Amino acid sequence: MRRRSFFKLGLLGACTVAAGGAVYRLARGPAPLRRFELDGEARAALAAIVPAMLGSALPPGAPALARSIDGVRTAIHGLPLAQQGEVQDLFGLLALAPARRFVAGVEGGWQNADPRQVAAFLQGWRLHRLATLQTAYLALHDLILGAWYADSASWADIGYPGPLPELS
Amino acid sequence: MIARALRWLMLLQVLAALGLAWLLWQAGLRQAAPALLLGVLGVLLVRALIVARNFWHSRRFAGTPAPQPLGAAAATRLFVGELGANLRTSSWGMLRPRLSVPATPGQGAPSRLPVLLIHGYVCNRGFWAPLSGQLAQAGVAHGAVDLEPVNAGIDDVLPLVERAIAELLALAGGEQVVIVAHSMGGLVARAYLRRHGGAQVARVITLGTPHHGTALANLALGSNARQMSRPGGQPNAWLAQLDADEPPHTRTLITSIYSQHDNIVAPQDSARLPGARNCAYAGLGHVALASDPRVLRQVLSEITIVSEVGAAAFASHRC
Amino acid sequence: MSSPIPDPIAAGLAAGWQVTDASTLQAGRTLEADVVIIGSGAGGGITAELLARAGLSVLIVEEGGLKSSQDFKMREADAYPALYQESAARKTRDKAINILQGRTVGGSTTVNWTSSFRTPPGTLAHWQRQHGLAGYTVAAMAPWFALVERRLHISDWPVPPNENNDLLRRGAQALGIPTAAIRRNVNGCWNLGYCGMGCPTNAKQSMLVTTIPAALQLGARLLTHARAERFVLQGERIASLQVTALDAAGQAPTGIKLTLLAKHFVLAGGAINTPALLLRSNAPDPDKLLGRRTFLHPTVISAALFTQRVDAYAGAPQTIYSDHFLGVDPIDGPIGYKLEAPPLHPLLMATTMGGFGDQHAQTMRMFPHAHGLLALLRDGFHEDAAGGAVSLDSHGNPVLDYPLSPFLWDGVRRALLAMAEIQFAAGARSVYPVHEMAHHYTSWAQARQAIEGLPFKPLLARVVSAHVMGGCAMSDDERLGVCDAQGRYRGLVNLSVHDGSLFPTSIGANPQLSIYALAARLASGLAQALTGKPAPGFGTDMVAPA
Repeated sequence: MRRRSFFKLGLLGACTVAAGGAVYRLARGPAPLRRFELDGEARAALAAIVPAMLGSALPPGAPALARSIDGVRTAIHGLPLAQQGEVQDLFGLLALAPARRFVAGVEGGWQNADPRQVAAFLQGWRLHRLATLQTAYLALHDLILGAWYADSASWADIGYPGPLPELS
Repeated sequence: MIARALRWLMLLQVLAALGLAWLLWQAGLRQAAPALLLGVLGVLLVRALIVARNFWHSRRFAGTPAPQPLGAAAATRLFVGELGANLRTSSWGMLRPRLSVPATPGQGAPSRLPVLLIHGYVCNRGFWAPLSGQLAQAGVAHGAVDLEPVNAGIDDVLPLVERAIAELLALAGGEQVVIVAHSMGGLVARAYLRRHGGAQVARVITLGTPHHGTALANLALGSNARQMSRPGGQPNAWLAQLDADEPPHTRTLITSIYSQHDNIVAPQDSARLPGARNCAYAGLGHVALASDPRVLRQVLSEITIVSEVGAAAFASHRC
Repeated sequence: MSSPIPDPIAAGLAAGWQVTDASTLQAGRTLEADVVIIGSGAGGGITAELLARAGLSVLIVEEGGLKSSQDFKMREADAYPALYQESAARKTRDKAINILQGRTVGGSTTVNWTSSFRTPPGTLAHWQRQHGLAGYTVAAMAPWFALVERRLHISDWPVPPNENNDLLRRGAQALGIPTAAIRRNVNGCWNLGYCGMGCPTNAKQSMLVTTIPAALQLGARLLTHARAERFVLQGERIASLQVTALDAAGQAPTGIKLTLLAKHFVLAGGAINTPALLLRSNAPDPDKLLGRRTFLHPTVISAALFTQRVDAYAGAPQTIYSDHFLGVDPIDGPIGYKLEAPPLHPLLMATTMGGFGDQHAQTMRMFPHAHGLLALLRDGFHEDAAGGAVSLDSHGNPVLDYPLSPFLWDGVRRALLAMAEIQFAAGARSVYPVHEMAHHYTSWAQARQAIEGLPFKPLLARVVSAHVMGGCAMSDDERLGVCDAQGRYRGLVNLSVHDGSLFPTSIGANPQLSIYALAARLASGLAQALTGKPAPGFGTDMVAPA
């Protein structure tokens, strides 16, 4: 992609995201304090992002992926409702069709996302000059990786023996 | 030997009571029952005065901060409780030194490590009657050592402890014991660990042990008394050496249970051992520590924990 | 299999302690006491025991739940949502700093790492000189420190440090940097390393197992899952405290409200929370000081990998420290920092390590060989480190705005350099200063060059905090503090503040002991003021039968 087009895309993307929050809110209404709901779009986004985030830590196959997504949902439910709302907004942003294309650089929806594209998108948000995108990346990082390694099923792989069983 | 001495002492007390009763009879009290009763009370009064004198003495050397003051009811309970414990041990328990025998272990009950009981100055295994009963009820194999001679130095009785541990392990199986010790017995336990290490000892629980000496030992007789003394208000040389020789991980094997109002250990703080687990009780006397229901509950609880979780979890061999 | 450790809280509840879980209430009610204490942490616990011993009827209000040793299963997944504010993910407004603060009975003391330091003399001297606290000399505070150290079994801990801490000692030693051993508030510690998830053996002498049980034993009452919303003021008095009952998860109000009446109120919610309550109450604040000068000891981390096993999750978490870099410059000069080692548990490590994908996974597989160092920056002593400001969001919840200035970033850079050098001196194979643009550097020279060149901006360098202080400062001078030096809130006759929000600067050391001693001093004064009799001291470990 040529330099100038790339910049235009970036600028457009930035404006979109800045307005995206507002647009999202306008589209979906003001945010009442409610528990996080993992709807189909959010699940699809997670299903694409989790393998990129976990890398070789994620065993192949659906059960492991489901375990990770479940863990993320549980972790989100532990947050105060205001923060759950923010995470809901984040997934809403990822799911909004126009935003997805411009902002994430991922074409054609999360279901068809190429892992390398997803990894590139994550890396892009990680170092983005827009704080909104950086914090979104950091939220995904902490939620997905935190939930995965907090799960005792992951401990054998990292050599963590876990707490004394007699006291648990 | 103590048992025999105490039986003679008991005889002496009986004779004194009878003698007092006879004096009252001569003085005009011509009814047998009241006279005998007063005779017995007279002897009890003397014993109560001895206990009171210990309390008074221990208060003088109480140290800072002073123990929390007790209300009238609690102070009465403290005194009566200690007098009662004194009478039960020296006029009954230690005259017939026998431990209770545990019911057949197993039968679904969790097995616990065997327990070695080490008594204090001028006592014998009969001292442990209440705890022995509870251990037996819980199905815990236990044994005791009688430290003799009475005035021997603490290091000199260590072979007795070594043999007692060997016998206990042969009888009950396993590789480690839990030591529960009263007063001077706690110092015996630490001296044992110094000489032999803790390979066979999962935990040491001391009751009312003067880890930094006691002023009341300054007046007592024997090499062991000297080893518990506080000349010039400081722990004596033997205690200082024990302290210096003790590696940090040994401390973590020890739970020190003591009373803020102990009448034999003064300053009462002397029982507080830095690096060990320290549990202070209020309103309990020195001898009463070994029979108070709350203390015994804690002792049994710790024996259970060590047995179930294993000494490895308690010990700090990670470092 | 249930733990064989006897749970003193369970035993106390069975014996008749008056504890009410507001999440179970079906109807609102009005409760009354001589003194209502908001918060059951370091300040609230100490105050509760001292006032109860003075014969006052005490009611403690706690936002968190009552969890004790039988609940502490040593798992991060359980501990963070149950025991911490905002699931251990409380953040500053720009999300640049992640804050660890407790929300449970015992407050942060239930989940801290037992490190006990007296307030450094330099800090006290600075308070005297610059913040109008003439009565806070080392000599004046010494007896209070001695009192609480005895009460909470704070002393040298004789067990040798674990490898994670010993590497700090060895690396520093190789560079001629002095280190020392940390004193701990533990009694019979098993050296497990799970302090941050609630002590499963009750060895840690947190408020949960010391002062709160003592107060409850003396008849004090405890209300849990109860958020203090605001004071209702009547002129110069607090007429009542409005409390909202929360659900069992502590997330949503149940709709039940309570009104608390008292002769005197003690606010001990901790920094951030205490100023927030006062802001919600429109408490008098003529100089607009409330919430300002909130300090965090902004903390940066250096992770390293060693050839040998470090097992940084095992053993007492913090046993070695260095104050060397607090003494290199004057206290009001370039920002100094204290070095310690953090324990590394899986979730904490996974979220702290930047990056993702295969590289992150590879690093995690090296978990037993991972080592951590942290630097606590001593904020509050220089005009360019004036702390943050607490304000309220639209829901009335506190938001901390903490700007990270170039002055602070300079300290961050120096701290990361120092930690990397120490880790390499200790034999590290690689060092990763936690920054989104950093790599695992394999030599000190490489690390130094890289760190000197890293851009330091919020969200790029990971900054965390486990110590929140200030926001409700005390001072003899009313222009410098909303509270006076006795912790009495100016303009309200029946309100005291007894927590870390009183500090006019950060402490420059882990703050729990400073809060204990301060609270003991203030509560003793309050007890005397309320009863007319000199305040009693503390009781013994095992309370005598009633």
